[in-house]
Amino acid sequence: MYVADQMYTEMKDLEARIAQLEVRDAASVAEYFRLYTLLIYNYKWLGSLYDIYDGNAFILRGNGAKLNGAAEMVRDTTELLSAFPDLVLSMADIFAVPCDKGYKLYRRFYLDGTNLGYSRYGAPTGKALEGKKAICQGMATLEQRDGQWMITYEYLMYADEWMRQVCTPDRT
Amino acid sequence: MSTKDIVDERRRLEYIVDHCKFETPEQVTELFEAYTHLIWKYKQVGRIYDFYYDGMMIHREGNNDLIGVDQVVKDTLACLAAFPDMEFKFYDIHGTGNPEEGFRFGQAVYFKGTFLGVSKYGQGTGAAFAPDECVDICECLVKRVDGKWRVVEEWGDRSTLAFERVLRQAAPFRTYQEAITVPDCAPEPEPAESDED
Repeated sequence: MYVADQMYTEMKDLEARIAQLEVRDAASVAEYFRLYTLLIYNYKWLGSLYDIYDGNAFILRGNGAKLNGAAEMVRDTTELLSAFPDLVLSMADIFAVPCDKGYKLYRRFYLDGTNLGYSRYGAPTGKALEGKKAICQGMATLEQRDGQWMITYEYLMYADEWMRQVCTPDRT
Repeated sequence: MSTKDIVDERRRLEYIVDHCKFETPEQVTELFEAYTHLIWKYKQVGRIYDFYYDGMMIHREGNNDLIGVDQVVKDTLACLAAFPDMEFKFYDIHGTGNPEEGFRFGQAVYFKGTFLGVSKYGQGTGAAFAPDECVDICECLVKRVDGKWRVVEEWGDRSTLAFERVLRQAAPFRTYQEAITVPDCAPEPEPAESDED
Protein backbone atom coordinates (compact mmCIF):
# COMPACT_ATOMS: atom_id res chain seq x y z
CA MET A 1 0.00 0.00 0.00
CA TYR A 2 1.28 3.51 -0.65
CA VAL A 3 2.22 5.53 2.40
CA ALA A 4 -0.17 8.25 1.27
CA ASP A 5 -3.05 5.78 1.15
CA GLN A 6 -2.17 4.48 4.60
CA MET A 7 -2.13 8.03 5.97
CA TYR A 8 -5.43 8.79 4.24
CA THR A 9 -7.12 5.73 5.70
CA GLU A 10 -5.87 6.46 9.20
CA MET A 11 -6.77 10.14 9.22
CA LYS A 12 -10.23 9.58 7.79
CA ASP A 13 -10.76 6.93 10.43
CA LEU A 14 -9.88 9.48 13.13
CA GLU A 15 -12.20 12.01 11.54
CA ALA A 16 -15.05 9.48 11.52
CA ARG A 17 -14.46 8.48 15.13
CA ILE A 18 -14.58 12.13 16.20
CA ALA A 19 -17.84 12.66 14.29
CA GLN A 20 -19.43 9.55 15.83
CA LEU A 21 -18.26 10.21 19.39
CA GLU A 22 -20.97 11.14 21.86
CA VAL A 23 -19.26 13.63 24.13
CA ARG A 24 -21.15 13.53 27.38
CA ASP A 25 -18.79 12.89 30.28
CA ALA A 26 -15.18 13.19 31.39
CA ALA A 27 -14.07 9.99 29.66
CA SER A 28 -15.61 10.91 26.32
CA VAL A 29 -14.28 14.49 26.56
CA ALA A 30 -10.79 13.09 27.05
CA GLU A 31 -11.24 10.72 24.10
CA TYR A 32 -12.48 13.62 21.93
CA PHE A 33 -9.34 15.64 22.62
CA ARG A 34 -7.12 12.57 22.26
CA LEU A 35 -8.44 11.92 18.76
CA TYR A 36 -8.12 15.57 17.77
CA THR A 37 -4.56 15.76 19.12
CA LEU A 38 -3.52 12.78 17.00
CA LEU A 39 -5.27 14.15 13.92
CA ILE A 40 -3.66 17.58 14.23
CA TYR A 41 -0.08 16.56 15.03
CA ASN A 42 0.27 13.24 13.20
CA TYR A 43 -1.74 14.06 10.10
CA LYS A 44 -1.00 17.78 9.94
CA TRP A 45 -4.65 18.84 10.16
CA LEU A 46 -3.49 22.22 11.49
CA GLY A 47 -6.80 23.82 10.57
CA SER A 48 -8.49 21.54 13.09
CA LEU A 49 -6.84 23.50 15.86
CA TYR A 50 -9.73 25.90 15.31
CA ASP A 51 -12.07 23.04 16.25
CA ILE A 52 -10.60 22.76 19.72
CA TYR A 53 -9.05 26.14 20.55
CA ASP A 54 -11.28 29.12 21.20
CA GLY A 55 -10.59 32.22 19.13
CA ASN A 56 -9.62 34.04 22.32
CA ALA A 57 -7.84 31.15 24.00
CA PHE A 58 -4.78 32.01 26.08
CA ILE A 59 -1.94 29.51 25.99
CA LEU A 60 0.94 29.97 28.37
CA ARG A 61 3.98 28.16 27.10
CA GLY A 62 7.18 27.57 29.06
CA ASN A 63 10.10 29.96 29.17
CA GLY A 64 7.94 33.07 28.96
CA ALA A 65 6.21 32.39 25.68
CA LYS A 66 2.50 33.20 25.35
CA LEU A 67 0.01 32.57 22.58
CA ASN A 68 -3.17 34.58 22.21
CA GLY A 69 -5.95 32.88 20.33
CA ALA A 70 -6.34 29.86 18.09
CA ALA A 71 -4.58 31.60 15.19
CA GLU A 72 -1.34 31.96 17.14
CA MET A 73 -1.61 28.33 18.21
CA VAL A 74 -1.89 27.40 14.54
CA ARG A 75 1.19 29.48 13.73
CA ASP A 76 3.18 27.97 16.59
CA THR A 77 2.20 24.39 15.70
CA THR A 78 2.94 24.99 12.04
CA GLU A 79 6.45 26.08 12.99
CA LEU A 80 6.89 22.87 14.96
CA LEU A 81 5.65 20.65 12.15
CA SER A 82 7.74 22.52 9.58
CA ALA A 83 10.87 21.88 11.64
CA PHE A 84 9.86 18.21 12.13
CA PRO A 85 7.78 17.27 9.10
CA ASP A 86 7.83 13.57 10.00
CA LEU A 87 6.58 14.29 13.52
CA VAL A 88 4.78 11.47 15.34
CA LEU A 89 2.99 12.26 18.59
CA SER A 90 2.43 9.43 21.07
CA MET A 91 -0.19 10.13 23.68
CA ALA A 92 1.03 8.75 27.00
CA ASP A 93 -1.77 9.92 29.29
CA ILE A 94 -4.93 12.00 29.08
CA PHE A 95 -7.74 12.59 31.53
CA ALA A 96 -10.49 15.11 32.18
CA VAL A 97 -12.19 16.12 35.40
CA PRO A 98 -15.31 18.26 35.77
CA CYS A 99 -14.94 21.82 37.04
CA ASP A 100 -17.19 24.85 37.41
CA LYS A 101 -16.46 26.08 33.86
CA GLY A 102 -16.74 22.66 32.22
CA TYR A 103 -13.72 20.39 32.41
CA LYS A 104 -10.03 20.43 33.21
CA LEU A 105 -7.98 18.41 30.76
CA TYR A 106 -4.51 16.96 31.32
CA ARG A 107 -2.40 15.62 28.42
CA ARG A 108 1.07 14.10 28.35
CA PHE A 109 2.65 13.10 25.08
CA TYR A 110 6.00 12.37 23.45
CA LEU A 111 7.26 13.65 20.14
CA ASP A 112 9.31 11.67 17.64
CA GLY A 113 10.63 13.23 14.50
CA THR A 114 13.66 14.48 12.61
CA ASN A 115 14.76 18.09 12.25
CA LEU A 116 14.41 18.26 8.50
CA GLY A 117 13.11 21.81 8.16
CA TYR A 118 14.20 25.25 9.32
CA SER A 119 13.40 26.16 12.89
CA ARG A 120 13.86 29.27 15.02
CA TYR A 121 17.38 27.96 15.69
CA GLY A 122 18.43 27.81 12.05
CA ALA A 123 19.04 25.29 9.32
CA PRO A 124 17.91 21.67 9.77
CA THR A 125 20.36 19.40 11.57
CA GLY A 126 18.96 15.96 10.73
CA LYS A 127 18.95 15.09 14.43
CA ALA A 128 16.04 13.21 16.02
CA LEU A 129 13.76 13.99 18.95
CA GLU A 130 13.88 10.38 20.16
CA GLY A 131 10.43 10.08 21.68
CA LYS A 132 10.71 9.86 25.45
CA LYS A 133 13.38 12.54 25.54
CA ALA A 134 10.73 14.97 24.31
CA ILE A 135 8.20 14.95 27.14
CA CYS A 136 5.36 17.41 26.56
CA GLN A 137 2.46 18.21 28.88
CA GLY A 138 -0.60 20.40 28.84
CA MET A 139 -3.25 21.40 31.37
CA ALA A 140 -6.29 23.08 29.88
CA THR A 141 -9.63 24.53 30.86
CA LEU A 142 -12.44 23.41 28.56
CA GLU A 143 -15.63 25.37 28.06
CA GLN A 144 -18.53 24.93 25.67
CA ARG A 145 -18.76 27.34 22.78
CA ASP A 146 -21.77 26.87 20.50
CA GLY A 147 -22.16 23.33 21.74
CA GLN A 148 -18.49 22.40 21.16
CA TRP A 149 -15.90 21.78 23.84
CA MET A 150 -13.02 24.19 23.35
CA ILE A 151 -9.78 25.00 25.11
CA THR A 152 -10.07 28.51 26.51
CA TYR A 153 -6.98 28.50 28.71
CA GLU A 154 -3.96 26.24 28.68
CA TYR A 155 -0.55 25.73 30.20
CA LEU A 156 1.35 23.89 27.47
CA MET A 157 4.97 22.85 27.65
CA TYR A 158 7.06 21.19 25.03
CA ALA A 159 10.57 19.89 25.79
CA ASP A 160 12.01 23.26 24.76
CA GLU A 161 15.60 22.76 25.87
CA TRP A 162 15.84 19.31 24.30
CA MET A 163 14.32 20.63 21.09
CA ARG A 164 16.86 23.45 21.07
CA GLN A 165 19.65 20.86 21.31
CA VAL A 166 18.14 18.81 18.49
CA CYS A 167 17.78 21.89 16.27
CA THR A 168 21.30 23.13 16.98
CA PRO A 169 24.32 21.60 15.25
CA ASP A 170 26.76 19.70 17.44
CA ARG A 171 29.95 21.63 18.14
CA THR A 172 32.87 20.14 16.20
CA MET B 1 6.10 37.12 57.59
CA SER B 2 7.28 36.89 61.17
CA THR B 3 8.99 33.76 62.40
CA LYS B 4 5.80 32.84 64.23
CA ASP B 5 3.77 33.27 61.03
CA ILE B 6 6.24 31.07 59.15
CA VAL B 7 6.06 28.32 61.75
CA ASP B 8 2.25 28.54 62.07
CA GLU B 9 1.74 28.26 58.31
CA ARG B 10 4.28 25.46 58.07
CA ARG B 11 2.42 23.55 60.79
CA ARG B 12 -0.88 24.05 58.96
CA LEU B 13 0.66 22.49 55.86
CA GLU B 14 2.22 19.68 57.90
CA TYR B 15 -1.20 18.86 59.30
CA ILE B 16 -2.66 18.51 55.81
CA VAL B 17 0.27 16.34 54.71
CA ASP B 18 0.17 14.12 57.79
CA HIS B 19 -3.61 13.56 57.80
CA CYS B 20 -4.58 12.86 54.20
CA LYS B 21 -6.93 9.88 53.97
CA PHE B 22 -6.31 9.15 50.27
CA GLU B 23 -10.02 8.56 49.65
CA THR B 24 -10.64 11.02 46.79
CA PRO B 25 -8.62 12.82 44.11
CA GLU B 26 -9.52 16.12 45.80
CA GLN B 27 -7.88 15.02 49.04
CA VAL B 28 -4.77 13.92 47.15
CA THR B 29 -4.45 17.20 45.21
CA GLU B 30 -4.94 19.20 48.43
CA LEU B 31 -2.20 17.10 50.01
CA PHE B 32 0.30 17.57 47.20
CA GLU B 33 -0.30 21.28 46.92
CA ALA B 34 0.44 21.61 50.66
CA TYR B 35 3.38 19.21 50.30
CA THR B 36 4.90 21.27 47.48
CA HIS B 37 4.79 24.46 49.57
CA LEU B 38 6.12 22.61 52.61
CA ILE B 39 9.25 21.55 50.75
CA TRP B 40 9.91 24.58 48.54
CA LYS B 41 8.65 27.58 50.48
CA TYR B 42 9.15 26.25 53.98
CA LYS B 43 12.38 24.38 53.09
CA GLN B 44 11.36 21.09 54.73
CA VAL B 45 13.48 19.27 52.17
CA GLY B 46 13.62 16.08 54.24
CA ARG B 47 9.88 15.70 53.77
CA ILE B 48 10.71 14.50 50.26
CA TYR B 49 11.24 11.16 51.98
CA ASP B 50 7.55 11.10 52.95
CA PHE B 51 6.38 10.17 49.46
CA TYR B 52 9.41 9.79 47.19
CA TYR B 53 11.37 6.59 47.58
CA ASP B 54 14.25 4.52 46.27
CA GLY B 55 12.34 2.90 43.46
CA MET B 56 10.84 6.01 41.89
CA MET B 57 11.86 8.04 38.85
CA ILE B 58 11.22 11.58 37.66
CA HIS B 59 11.28 11.67 33.87
CA ARG B 60 12.66 14.85 32.37
CA GLU B 61 13.32 15.99 28.83
CA GLY B 62 16.49 14.81 27.15
CA ASN B 63 16.66 11.71 29.37
CA ASN B 64 17.82 13.91 32.27
CA ASP B 65 15.84 11.71 34.61
CA LEU B 66 16.16 11.65 38.39
CA ILE B 67 16.34 8.08 39.65
CA GLY B 68 15.61 7.44 43.30
CA VAL B 69 14.86 9.70 46.23
CA ASP B 70 18.46 10.75 46.88
CA GLN B 71 18.72 12.33 43.45
CA VAL B 72 15.44 14.14 44.05
CA VAL B 73 16.79 15.53 47.34
CA LYS B 74 20.07 16.56 45.68
CA ASP B 75 18.27 18.30 42.81
CA THR B 76 15.97 20.16 45.21
CA LEU B 77 18.82 21.31 47.42
CA ALA B 78 20.77 22.57 44.41
CA CYS B 79 17.80 24.60 43.25
CA LEU B 80 17.21 26.07 46.72
CA ALA B 81 20.91 26.85 47.09
CA ALA B 82 20.73 28.97 43.95
CA PHE B 83 17.32 30.50 44.71
CA PRO B 84 17.01 30.73 48.51
CA ASP B 85 13.68 32.61 48.25
CA MET B 86 12.25 30.07 45.80
CA GLU B 87 8.57 29.24 45.94
CA PHE B 88 6.11 27.59 43.64
CA LYS B 89 3.03 29.57 42.71
CA PHE B 90 0.18 27.33 41.67
CA TYR B 91 -1.74 27.94 38.49
CA ASP B 92 -3.74 24.72 38.75
CA ILE B 93 -3.81 21.17 40.06
CA HIS B 94 -6.31 18.46 39.27
CA GLY B 95 -6.38 14.70 39.54
CA THR B 96 -8.24 11.46 39.11
CA GLY B 97 -8.19 7.97 40.60
CA ASN B 98 -9.31 5.93 43.57
CA PRO B 99 -7.83 4.20 46.62
CA GLU B 100 -7.73 0.79 44.92
CA GLU B 101 -5.88 1.70 41.72
CA GLY B 102 -4.08 4.79 42.90
CA PHE B 103 -4.23 8.42 41.85
CA ARG B 104 -2.66 10.62 39.26
CA PHE B 105 -2.67 14.35 39.12
CA GLY B 106 -1.31 17.13 36.97
CA GLN B 107 -0.07 20.40 38.36
CA ALA B 108 0.91 23.62 36.63
CA VAL B 109 3.02 26.06 38.63
CA TYR B 110 5.53 28.81 38.11
CA PHE B 111 8.77 29.39 39.94
CA LYS B 112 9.25 32.67 41.72
CA GLY B 113 12.79 33.19 42.91
CA THR B 114 15.92 35.32 42.87
CA PHE B 115 19.37 34.02 42.06
CA LEU B 116 21.05 34.99 45.32
CA GLY B 117 22.99 31.85 46.18
CA VAL B 118 25.33 29.60 44.29
CA SER B 119 24.90 27.45 41.20
CA LYS B 120 27.05 25.47 38.79
CA TYR B 121 27.77 28.73 36.92
CA GLY B 122 28.89 30.78 39.89
CA GLN B 123 27.64 33.20 42.52
CA GLY B 124 24.21 34.76 42.53
CA THR B 125 23.73 38.25 41.16
CA GLY B 126 20.13 39.01 42.08
CA ALA B 127 18.83 38.02 38.64
CA ALA B 128 15.20 36.87 38.76
CA PHE B 129 12.59 35.26 36.58
CA ALA B 130 10.15 37.50 34.75
CA PRO B 131 6.47 37.04 35.74
CA ASP B 132 5.06 33.81 34.28
CA GLU B 133 8.43 32.99 32.70
CA CYS B 134 9.37 29.87 34.61
CA VAL B 135 6.36 27.60 34.08
CA ASP B 136 6.58 24.01 35.27
CA ILE B 137 4.10 21.20 34.63
CA CYS B 138 4.26 17.74 36.09
CA GLU B 139 2.18 14.62 36.44
CA CYS B 140 2.54 12.35 39.45
CA LEU B 141 1.41 8.76 39.80
CA VAL B 142 0.61 7.99 43.43
CA LYS B 143 0.14 4.39 44.53
CA ARG B 144 0.26 2.29 47.66
CA VAL B 145 3.60 0.44 47.70
CA ASP B 146 4.58 -1.83 50.56
CA GLY B 147 1.83 -0.44 52.76
CA LYS B 148 2.61 3.24 52.18
CA TRP B 149 1.31 5.82 49.72
CA ARG B 150 4.15 6.91 47.45
CA VAL B 151 4.90 8.87 44.30
CA VAL B 152 5.97 5.95 42.12
CA GLU B 153 6.60 7.92 38.94
CA GLU B 154 6.64 11.53 37.84
CA TRP B 155 6.98 13.34 34.53
CA GLY B 156 8.19 16.92 34.62
CA ASP B 157 8.55 19.74 32.13
CA ARG B 158 10.56 22.63 33.48
CA SER B 159 11.33 25.96 31.81
CA THR B 160 14.96 24.98 31.46
CA LEU B 161 15.80 27.84 29.11
CA ALA B 162 14.51 30.33 31.69
CA PHE B 163 16.70 28.74 34.34
CA GLU B 164 19.70 28.96 32.02
CA ARG B 165 18.95 32.60 31.27
CA VAL B 166 18.93 33.55 34.93
CA LEU B 167 21.73 31.30 36.16
CA ARG B 168 24.13 32.34 33.39
CA GLN B 169 24.04 35.85 34.82
CA ALA B 170 26.24 34.50 37.61
CA ALA B 171 29.29 36.22 39.01
CA PRO B 172 32.50 34.18 39.01
CA PHE B 173 33.09 31.83 41.89
CA ARG B 174 35.27 33.36 44.55
CA THR B 175 38.82 32.07 44.53
CA TYR B 176 39.98 30.06 47.50
CA GLN B 177 42.07 33.02 48.66
CA GLU B 178 39.07 35.34 48.52
CA ALA B 179 36.96 32.85 50.38
CA ILE B 180 39.39 32.48 53.27
CA THR B 181 40.46 36.12 53.55
CA VAL B 182 38.94 37.83 56.57
CA PRO B 183 37.97 41.44 55.80
CA ASP B 184 40.14 44.04 57.48
CA CYS B 185 38.20 45.03 60.63
CA ALA B 186 40.61 47.74 61.81
CA PRO B 187 38.86 51.05 62.56
CA GLU B 188 39.14 53.79 59.99
CA PRO B 189 41.94 56.25 60.97
CA GLU B 190 40.70 59.63 62.11
CA PRO B 191 40.98 62.27 59.40
CA ALA B 192 44.08 64.44 59.80
CA GLU B 193 43.51 68.04 60.96
CA SER B 194 43.65 70.56 58.14
CA ASP B 195 46.86 72.71 57.96
CA GLU B 196 44.73 75.67 56.95
CA ASP B 197 43.10 76.04 60.39
